[in-house]
Amino acid sequence: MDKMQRAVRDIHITDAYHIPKSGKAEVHPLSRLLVTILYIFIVVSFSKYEIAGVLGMAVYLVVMGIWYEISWIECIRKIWMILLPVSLVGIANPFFDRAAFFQIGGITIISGMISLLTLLLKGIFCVLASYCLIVTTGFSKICYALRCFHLPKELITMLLLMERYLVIFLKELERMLQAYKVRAPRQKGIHIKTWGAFVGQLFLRTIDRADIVYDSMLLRGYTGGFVGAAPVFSWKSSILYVVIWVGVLVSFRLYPVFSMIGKLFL
Amino acid sequence: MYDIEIQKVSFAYPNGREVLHDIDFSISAGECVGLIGANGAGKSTLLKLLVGLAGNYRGKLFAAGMPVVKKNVAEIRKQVGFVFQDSDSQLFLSTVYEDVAFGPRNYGLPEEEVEKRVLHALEKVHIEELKDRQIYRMSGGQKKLASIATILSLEPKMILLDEPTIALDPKNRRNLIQVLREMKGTKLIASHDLDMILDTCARTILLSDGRVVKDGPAEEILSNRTLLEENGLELPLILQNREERLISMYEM
Repeated sequence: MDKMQRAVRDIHITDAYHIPKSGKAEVHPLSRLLVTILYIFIVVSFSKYEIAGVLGMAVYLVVMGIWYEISWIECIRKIWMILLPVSLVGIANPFFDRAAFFQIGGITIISGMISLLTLLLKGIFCVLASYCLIVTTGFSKICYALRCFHLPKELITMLLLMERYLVIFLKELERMLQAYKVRAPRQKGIHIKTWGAFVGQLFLRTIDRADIVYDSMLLRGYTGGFVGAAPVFSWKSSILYVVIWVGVLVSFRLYPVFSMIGKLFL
Repeated sequence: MYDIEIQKVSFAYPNGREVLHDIDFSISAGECVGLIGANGAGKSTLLKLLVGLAGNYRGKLFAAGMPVVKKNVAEIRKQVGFVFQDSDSQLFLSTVYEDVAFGPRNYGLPEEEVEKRVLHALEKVHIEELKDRQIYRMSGGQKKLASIATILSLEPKMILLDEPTIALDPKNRRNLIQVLREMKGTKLIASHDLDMILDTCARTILLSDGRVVKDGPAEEILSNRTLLEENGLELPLILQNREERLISMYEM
């Protein structure tokens, strides 16, 4: 499958992934959004040497992954380009922060390595939590949750339109790349001389297409507001979801749960 | 009472190119009219004018009994459905259900009513089973039917269709013609597919260079080889075949 086709497919699949599996009550998008924000806030709040605490936060991702049958391999395939720069944060720490942190079998682990690892995990966990939110909720429902947050209508509309424009952009790019490839079969990528015209044409074409899509929206009564059904959800599940996760996440932040469990066995 | 009334309408794009000149015709409620003409004849522009998408025009234009002016556009769009030539431009949400529900939700209908309308619209175009289908996984024919359903869910008084059979294979084309025949209400179909026009419309309007050349019964206009050829069109295939058979019988 072509890269562009895969990208468009990924957007659509991600958007449809959130359809609840049978037997699982739908949680209000706002509950999911609040828990995700709290999760990111707590993960970021750990100091750079609190690696055990950060590791404990993996519980959320593991549980969500099992409950919603999220394929983390598929997830990494999709978002490795974001994970890569995130992983590079703190890469220089081992060179500057050389104080001994602890020893394992005669090998000294320096503080810089711990802080690198902590930052790495923090970044990865935050990105994965966001991914988790998108696939379990869907983009339009996240926008609905933002509306519940009383965020400006214009901002939400812009987000929704941007998502639609992205699909149009990728589809047009795919068409143009195919047209280019069939006439330049031996060439790898696009020749530098063609870049200017190619990008210019791409923008003009996507603007035209976006105009038609917008016309189609206007013809069906779109007036600039948020459109989408109010999600069907269970209040009980939504409240329970928030209470349980807030309890778990705050406990993991306040108490060294893993150390305490470890001490029980020692 | 006319559903569409066009009196001496002319239209030019901002670059000054005039695409419609003194168009004059009307369509009664319940009529199915074919709008034919070569490329650039002004068919799509005329359809867009009727729903207030093209811009300012000269003359008088009425759709659903209202003058097509800015203050009426919202109400006109509620009563006049428009099916675009390219289904990919019409369908922009992830599933068929979501897309068909987009219009009714915009008009603030309660969710139960939205669901009822969506299911009814899908039933009308015989794609109920595709309700939850991802749009990117659908064939061209299915997308076309889904895009018609997006309009039917608004329960419009009349429907304007721009090249509905374009890029459809024979089976999907036949299926679409059947759906168009079954659809009630006023229909204005702009197309090059003269066989389809012959199959679905009782009346045809021939446009050429932005002017109405002929307006009359579909059979009469579509069987007039000279008239069609003078205006950049050809006889519908079914009539060509009939003509060829008659010639060969005569030669025998």
